Amino acid sequence: MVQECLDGSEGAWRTLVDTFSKRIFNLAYQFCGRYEEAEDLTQEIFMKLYTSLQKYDPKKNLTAWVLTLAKNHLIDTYRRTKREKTQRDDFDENLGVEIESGPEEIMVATEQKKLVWQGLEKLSPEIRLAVILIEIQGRSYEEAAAILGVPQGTVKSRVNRGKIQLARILSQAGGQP
Amino acid sequence: MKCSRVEKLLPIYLEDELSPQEKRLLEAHLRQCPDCQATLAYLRAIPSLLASIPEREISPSLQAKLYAIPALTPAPTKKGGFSLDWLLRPSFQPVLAAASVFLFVLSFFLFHPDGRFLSRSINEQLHLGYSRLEKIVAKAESLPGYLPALQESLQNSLKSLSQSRPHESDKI
Repeated sequence: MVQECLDGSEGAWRTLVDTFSKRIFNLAYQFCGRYEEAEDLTQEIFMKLYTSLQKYDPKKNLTAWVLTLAKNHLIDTYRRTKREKTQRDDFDENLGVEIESGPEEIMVATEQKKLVWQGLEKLSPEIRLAVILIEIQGRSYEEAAAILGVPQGTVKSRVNRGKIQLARILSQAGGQP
Repeated sequence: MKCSRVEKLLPIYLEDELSPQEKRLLEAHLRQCPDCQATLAYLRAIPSLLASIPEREISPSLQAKLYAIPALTPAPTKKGGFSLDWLLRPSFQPVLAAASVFLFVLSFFLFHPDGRFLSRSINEQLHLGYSRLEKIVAKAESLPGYLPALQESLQNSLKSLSQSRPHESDKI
């Protein structure tokens, strides 16, 4: 697919976009917390991907290579702009809540989810990405380690540290466990 | 066991990977520490809270922008393809600097209003140098003709010297 893109095939590029756009967009969205910003980041990542295609080694895993490129761009942008200091102000309060639940349950679940969602931005970028890949996107430790470029043990320790920090945030907010 | 230590061990406790001794100590601490109990309860809730964050769909406008990237971005060069990147390499910079200086000097001769006078002056100097060289060569060529006369004159000089100083000529 990469070689076809390099040969100028429009269809191959569309396939590449269809394969990775949703994954990269969600990674960016969960990392930065803002829909429009995630759209900009996704576009930047795909432009970088397009100009870096000739560097791809066919012996390597394409998914891991693409997501590593996305991860590097997210961390570079984060360090350049220090976006963690601003608030996540576009949180959708009905995000993922079951319709069958009662109103009180909806309120508690939404509040807790909002706290966790906002708490993500307080984590360091490395810990945040590990938590996103393992806990939100449900990837294996092996895959996350390949994307993040660290051993699996490091991924596990980052995820544990992230969960402890999030638990602390919920605890300080005084919500119902 | 201190709360800070318990906090670090709680995720491992939840995965049931603590040693029996550590597990016993931690559970003893939990029985008497409400804060750590609360942290444990939150830790149990966090995976499901994070997992319930749904994936978002990308907008059709973003999809269209992503499809259009090849049309808006310069095409990536293939491996082994022709590239002028080597011109920008640091090792090539001295060559570029020397070429710039050469072209700068050359421009005086090509485009400066007084360039023709400069070139005339250079031509004169070149001709002068050439004629001097010719004279030197001509003198060098006539030198063998002078050698016998020079030899004879030297011999006469030596003879006259030996006659005036007989002792020294014996030594010679």
